Amino acid sequence: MYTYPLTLKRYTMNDLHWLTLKEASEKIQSNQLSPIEYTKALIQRTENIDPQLNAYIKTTPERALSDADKAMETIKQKNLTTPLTGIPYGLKDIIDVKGLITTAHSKILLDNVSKKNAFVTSKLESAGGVFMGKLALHEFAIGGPAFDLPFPPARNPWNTNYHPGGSSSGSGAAVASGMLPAALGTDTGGSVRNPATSCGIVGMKATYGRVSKAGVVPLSFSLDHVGPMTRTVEDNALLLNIIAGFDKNDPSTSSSQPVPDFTEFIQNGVKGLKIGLIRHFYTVDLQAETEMCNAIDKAAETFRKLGAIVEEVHVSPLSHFSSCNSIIMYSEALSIHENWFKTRPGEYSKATRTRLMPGLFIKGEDYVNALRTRTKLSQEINNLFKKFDLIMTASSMETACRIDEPETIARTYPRQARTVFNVTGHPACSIPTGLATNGLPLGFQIAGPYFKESLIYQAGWAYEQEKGFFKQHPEI
Amino acid sequence: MNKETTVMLDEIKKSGFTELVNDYTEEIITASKIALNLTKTMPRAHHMYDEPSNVYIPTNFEKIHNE
Repeated sequence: MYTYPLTLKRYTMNDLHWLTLKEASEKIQSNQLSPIEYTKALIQRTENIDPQLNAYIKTTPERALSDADKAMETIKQKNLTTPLTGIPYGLKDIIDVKGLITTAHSKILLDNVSKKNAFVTSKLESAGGVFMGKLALHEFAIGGPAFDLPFPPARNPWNTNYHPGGSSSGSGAAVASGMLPAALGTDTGGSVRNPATSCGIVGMKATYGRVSKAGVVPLSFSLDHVGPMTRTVEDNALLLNIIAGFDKNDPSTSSSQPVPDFTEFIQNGVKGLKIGLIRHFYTVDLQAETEMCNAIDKAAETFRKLGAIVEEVHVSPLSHFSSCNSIIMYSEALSIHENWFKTRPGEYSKATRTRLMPGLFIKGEDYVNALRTRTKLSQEINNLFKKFDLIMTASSMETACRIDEPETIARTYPRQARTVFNVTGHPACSIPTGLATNGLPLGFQIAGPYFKESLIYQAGWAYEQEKGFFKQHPEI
Repeated sequence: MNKETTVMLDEIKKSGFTELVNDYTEEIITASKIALNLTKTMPRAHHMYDEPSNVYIPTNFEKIHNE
């Protein structure tokens, strides 16, 4: 065990748990901060506040300290390090870690011990990250928040009476509350970007094929993505740097697209960039709450002020995208859950069961029709990028709702514009804008051409620096 | 329960979902309405006969759109 010099213990816990990934990494690399000290601070933070948030399904403090010790040795020996060396992270409990149970937040998988790591887990381990534990989600990434499961649902750190968004609920809550600087979630219809918006953090769904899904419990094979969740845009890019890349065990990953350094041009600004604003998604197809609508419009104004050219554009109605997503998701999800649905239907939460059941009524012809429509819709969005560098639109139509109001959750959950980019496969990122008068976060999405995540980060970083919301934290 | 619903539930039972139908009948009926509504809101693709191979494959875009 490495013992850190006493003279360097000059941080209070408050300093440490709000460090960004980049700040912590720089301090670790320059020997101003010990990974062990940092990890202990976040373990303490978790012990203090997670009873209010339920972000974790399982914490692994011994493993975390062991990982931190290894990171310390790596630095001490002057071996090759990465920006993740000594940095704590968490995984949505749908992502395998060898030797640990992957529950998918479900009673059905309580005995599901992983035989090997998911691809992304191995990437994070190899990069020297400190694994802190498995994070709560909506059961099987679809049914929640639910109170009839072995684990309670995660709560929003800005107000614990409210839902943190889902399905990567624990990832959003843990990062926003300072229990972690970084976590991974998964996104089939917006499940990285929804908790990112609801919790006021940054969530990226990269291009389909950018990040391997091998070792992740699937929900819908052709719509699932694994994505990074962080408090800042640059941290997000750093995390994507680690997890992106071809994986022979996931045939959907791209072997032809190189993985760039997503931070390389992040400070280049937006001057001269052309941004298409799809406003009808949140003003006509669905009507966002006034504060959310204003926040997105103001974000467009901010981009203009920073030198971008923002023009309103029109595409197919949002309902075409969301129906297409739902039909594909229901069909593919039922193919995964069919056997359990036949033999163990009572072990699902009611929320999951009711969300999976429509798959029983989607016919083969409907599925094929959705796939053909998907091509059309993908081409339509892709054509926008012949004229625009980026597009922006809403993420959620309102701020998070109360966690104990299932009818409100059922009404508001589909009111979003995230499924668009699961259907088309384009990269899309949720960026927070600030707080509504109810004290809950607001946000919007930026989407880019296939494999141009760097450009999204570039615009996201410019906006973030201008607005400075990342410096604001929930009082918990 | 009308005859149409009874037939639908019997068909699902025959597919092996007996316990699901017996224990969660109301949920299933609601789900059938959701599915019907979804398929109605999808744009019909029958006009796409001129594009016989236009079925989405997730990695197609890598080849088609980034040339």
